[in-house]
Amino acid sequence: MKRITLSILSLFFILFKSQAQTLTSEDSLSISGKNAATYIGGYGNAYYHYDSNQKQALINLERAVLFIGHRFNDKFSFLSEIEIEDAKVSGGEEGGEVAIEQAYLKFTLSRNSYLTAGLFLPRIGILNENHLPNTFNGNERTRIESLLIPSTWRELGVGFYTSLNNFPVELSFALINGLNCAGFEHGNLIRGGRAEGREATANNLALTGAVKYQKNNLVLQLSAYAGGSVGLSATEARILNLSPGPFGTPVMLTEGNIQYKINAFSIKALATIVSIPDAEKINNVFSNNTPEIAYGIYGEAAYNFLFKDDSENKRSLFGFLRYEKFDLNATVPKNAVNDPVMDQQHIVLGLSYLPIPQIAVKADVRFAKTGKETIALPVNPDPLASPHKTNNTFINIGFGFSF
Amino acid sequence: MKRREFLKDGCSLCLALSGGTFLLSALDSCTPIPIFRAQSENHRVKIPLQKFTDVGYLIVRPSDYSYDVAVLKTNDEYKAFIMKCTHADNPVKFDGIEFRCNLHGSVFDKTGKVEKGPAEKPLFILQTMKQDDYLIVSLI
Repeated sequence: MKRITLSILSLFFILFKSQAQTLTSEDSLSISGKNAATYIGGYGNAYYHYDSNQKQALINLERAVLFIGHRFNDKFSFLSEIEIEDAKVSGGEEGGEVAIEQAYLKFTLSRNSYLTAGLFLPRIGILNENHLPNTFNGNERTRIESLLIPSTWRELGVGFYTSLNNFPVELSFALINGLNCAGFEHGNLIRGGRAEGREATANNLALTGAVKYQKNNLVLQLSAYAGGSVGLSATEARILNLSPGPFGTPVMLTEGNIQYKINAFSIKALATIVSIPDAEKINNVFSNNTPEIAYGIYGEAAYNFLFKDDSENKRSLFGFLRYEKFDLNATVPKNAVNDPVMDQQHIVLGLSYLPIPQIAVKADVRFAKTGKETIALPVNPDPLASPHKTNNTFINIGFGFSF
Repeated sequence: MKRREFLKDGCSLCLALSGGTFLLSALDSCTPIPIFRAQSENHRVKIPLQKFTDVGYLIVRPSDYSYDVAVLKTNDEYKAFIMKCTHADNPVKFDGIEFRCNLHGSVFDKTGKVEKGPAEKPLFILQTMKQDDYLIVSLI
């Protein structure tokens, strides 16, 4: 009887085509979300990049990512992303990367809540969760969400996501493996300390949490990360005078962002601060010029010139202006060198044309301004490197897609 | 867009930046999201029309169904959307203006059309029918 009812309903919907998706009998079987289904998707981007100081241009297929998901039933799903960076990975050659960007199981607890387990991207910042190239302006990801919040920042662990029943607030918490302070680098901050699912030390752990408010095109988010950065055994760590344990030699990151849209205008802004109180101890062991405090802020305003386009495939043409200011060594311990080059400002001006919502053609200019180079820092400077200039201009033209 | 509209929108944005909108939004957050838990019978749910308040939408939570259904009321017309992203079946959130998927960032407008990919298909619309003082939504 149920089958007959379903068939009649399906036929009914086929006959009454609406503006939104027309349902077929096949859809009706999967739409309830109770049967198994496999999904394939992906995204990628390529761009031309010109560095006016170096007078050097390059073209790169930066990312090609394959997304595979599988729903076992209405409770269990598996989601994954496999990424190839820079198109090619060859033995013995620098550059390129093949990586599992995400691979986790999702268990639905209720209509409002679910658990994740595996390699996933915690909710920190804007780009970490939503990093598809057609969802942000500019060919390059923001500097702040690359250097201070090292997107895409994935780690192994378990996460809990929920939303309040009657208020537009979402909460998320995750317990993940910690960073490895041996991998911290001058100029890249904590980025090199990520394990990204590969033999992560689990003596040190991290907690992340986010509160997200979302209503009437206003999104407000606050998130935080706190975790230990020494995965060594207690004995080894103490020999090196580092604090061991789950939250020993801590790294803390707090971030807040806002996104707001009114008709054709949209704005977004983000501020973050990274704190490494035991930076001095880390420098004593690894000499990686780790700072105690780093911070960054950015704001972006965009205008969609095709806002009123009401075609079947909504086209968009965004003009945008972004300002970024950050200092990767705002406070340094006694045994570190303050590098003014790490105090930077960037202004990005550009256009993004989306002929359909899944494809973006982008062109932008980035004006960068840094502090002066310090002679105290380069130990082995590249003999072919040209003198550092405090101002530079970069031109980027490219495209991105997702499906 | 006309010059007047441009100026109007620009000024509104400035006001928002100056904090007025944030304050209003904060106050607005005190308004609960209208959620209606409905018992589904024969793949249908019955919603009292009086449940539709001034906000113009109702999130219906049918029993024995994997997704919520957002019913939007425009004038005297009702449209019922399954709150499921058409990209990878993840539940979407309705913020009063748009539907958003947290998984890959797809956004759908109030008519169910894709505003931001990766989703390519619009949201599924369910059949609705008014019967006396009730709205009947057919689930499939």
